[in-house]
Amino acid sequence: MPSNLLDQAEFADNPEPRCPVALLLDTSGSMVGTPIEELNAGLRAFSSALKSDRLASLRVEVSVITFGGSVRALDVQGGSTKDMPFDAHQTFVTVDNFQPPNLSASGNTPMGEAVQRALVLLNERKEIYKQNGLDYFRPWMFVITDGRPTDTGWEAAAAQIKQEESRKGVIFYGVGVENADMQVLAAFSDLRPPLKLRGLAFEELFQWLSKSLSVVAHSRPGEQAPLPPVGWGQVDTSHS
Amino acid sequence: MKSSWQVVGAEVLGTSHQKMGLPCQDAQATRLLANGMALVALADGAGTAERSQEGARQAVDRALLCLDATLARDAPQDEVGWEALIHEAFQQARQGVLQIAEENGSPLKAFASTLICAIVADCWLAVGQIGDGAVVAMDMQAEYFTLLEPQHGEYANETNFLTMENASDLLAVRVVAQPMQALSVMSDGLTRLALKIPNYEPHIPFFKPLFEFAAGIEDQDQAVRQLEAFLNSERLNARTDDDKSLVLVARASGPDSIP
Repeated sequence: MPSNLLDQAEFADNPEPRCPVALLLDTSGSMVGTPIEELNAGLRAFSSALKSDRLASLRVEVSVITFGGSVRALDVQGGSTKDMPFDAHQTFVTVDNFQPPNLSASGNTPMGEAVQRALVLLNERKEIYKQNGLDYFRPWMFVITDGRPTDTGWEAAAAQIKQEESRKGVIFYGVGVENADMQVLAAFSDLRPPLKLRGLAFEELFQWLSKSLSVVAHSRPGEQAPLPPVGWGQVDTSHS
Repeated sequence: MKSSWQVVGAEVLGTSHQKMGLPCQDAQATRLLANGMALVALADGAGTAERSQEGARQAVDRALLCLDATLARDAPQDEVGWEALIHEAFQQARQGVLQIAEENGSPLKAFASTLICAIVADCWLAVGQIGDGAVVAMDMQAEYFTLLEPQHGEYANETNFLTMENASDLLAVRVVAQPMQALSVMSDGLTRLALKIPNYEPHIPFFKPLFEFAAGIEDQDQAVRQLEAFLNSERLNARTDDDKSLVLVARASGPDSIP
């Protein structure tokens, strides 16, 4: 019996489906010192944890947007501190090519603008997938802040996210650090209450994010992948 | 006149399911009927539905039971008849899943799975599908084509299930009134390896050796083991972490069977 016939079967070379993730990080002045150092360590942990999952590292695409003084898209492919234009072709990189940027903190907290620009980027990224015939998962927006928005348009941004969330266009997670205004964060999602980080456990937070994205990247049709338990914080219920 | 089909099928646990301690949620079954027809049913249980492997198994068994019973009496004579038969098989399969859900006092969606059915007759081919996975055939001129494409929503991890309320609207049916040389039914775990995305054209270097393998089967048990070994092979697992099931049907390559 010619079993070697099965060994002759060649596989089609299809691109992997993608899961776009926008990391929105508060780099305002109040993050100076230990918080920003811990946040940087967390980003590095995130990068190495996801890189160890081969399929996830080819499927998850990361973009890093910071809001401290101004809203910036970072160069996550080169790992340099230069700004990238807000162009979905350039701001996302699959995890296998992700270089964690080294963040520094200063300025106020234009979070509303950051959210709005990130949402545009995520939607543009989806368009790029469609144009290229790539399958994709629902985009993630992950916001970490230790304060409250200083820009005036944040309520509009929150409403936009809620609307996008209700039509299953995005999965929004808000994480509050130390003195963050949890009530403001809660305004961004009807589905997921914001989480309060335990101390400065950024590294645990990013390990969790990495595991969660692994789960999503391996999820099959019909799965609302159950995410690993949150060990790094707690659900803020004081405003619900 | 009877045609002689070789049929082999296997389902294998995916590496991600192994890691998470999940069972294999794919199910497949085949039958060769006395009238010379071959039947195939294949289902892929939903990852999050807690009893989806039971749903998949029930769907497959009930669909084949229905097709077998009907075809033993009488075979459809036209396209409309074949279409009606496929619809009936899916309705019976759904009914079967509904029944075990009721017996267990569980919601229907706990048993969510996809379903593909195929009837391969000498000069007819009838297939139906709800959900993902795919059906690929090769005709007598060795032309390959994808009969039914995976159904999915906007996102890669969304598809349709037999247990959905509007299942009969979701059912895609295709009837071809010409003889086929070989047919393959596969679950979602294999489609990225076997089809060219996004147009879902068959990747011929994948199917050609598989169809040759099926046509040349001599020992049925050994063929199943070989197919399982292929589905479990390292090179295949490097490309997919999902459960994978595959059924191959081919005209036997004996001297009398090729028309």
